[in-house]
Amino acid sequence: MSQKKMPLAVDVYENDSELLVVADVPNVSQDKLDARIENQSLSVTATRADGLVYERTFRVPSEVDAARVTATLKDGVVSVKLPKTRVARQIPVSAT
Amino acid sequence: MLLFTRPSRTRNGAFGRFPPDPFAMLERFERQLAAPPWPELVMREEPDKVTLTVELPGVPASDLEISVKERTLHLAAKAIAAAPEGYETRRKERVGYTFSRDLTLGDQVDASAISASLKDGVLTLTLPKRPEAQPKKIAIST
Repeated sequence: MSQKKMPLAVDVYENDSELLVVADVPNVSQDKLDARIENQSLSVTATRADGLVYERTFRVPSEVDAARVTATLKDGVVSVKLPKTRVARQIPVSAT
Repeated sequence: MLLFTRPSRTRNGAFGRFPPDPFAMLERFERQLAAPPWPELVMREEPDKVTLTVELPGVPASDLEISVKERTLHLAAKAIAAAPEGYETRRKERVGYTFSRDLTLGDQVDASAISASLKDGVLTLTLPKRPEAQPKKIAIST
């Protein structure tokens, strides 16, 4: 099976609560779509029915909450939602 | 990587007649790997049917026009790769596209039996050939 890799064209959108990454991945079934986030890096790999592989990796800003990232596949388009951490963490101040 | 197919009859919409010869050589158009705005229609001919495939990411079945009028098969779809409501665009690499083809069906095609499926953004049309147009094995008596 050919393993020819093709870069994936993406759109990146943003609003107050999240980043949204959208890419066209025609001819890719759900089980052949791999999206992972590791060490501030989002990686999308999609294998088409004809063996061609779409691939793209990019850095993700630190305000993204990696635990809440989700991806959906519809009509050959993958959308990855990267929520931003909204909770401001209160730093306890102790007297010395 | 080829950016352009050979001069393709399908590309310009004027398909022309399928060869009447049932033993016509299988001609496979090489798939163009370039991105939109030219979704390419790939035609494959087999002894019993013709298959058309075209990649239309971002097009739901409800936005796809497929119709047959007399001997013309009409296909149309549009995908707008715009920012969703309430978002700002930070990066734009995808392009929207329009797709439209009007194909003349040869006499071999049974237009009433055309079927279509849309899966993973790929539209596949199956155009069965009429039984008379399919190769018939001739039994040899011994």
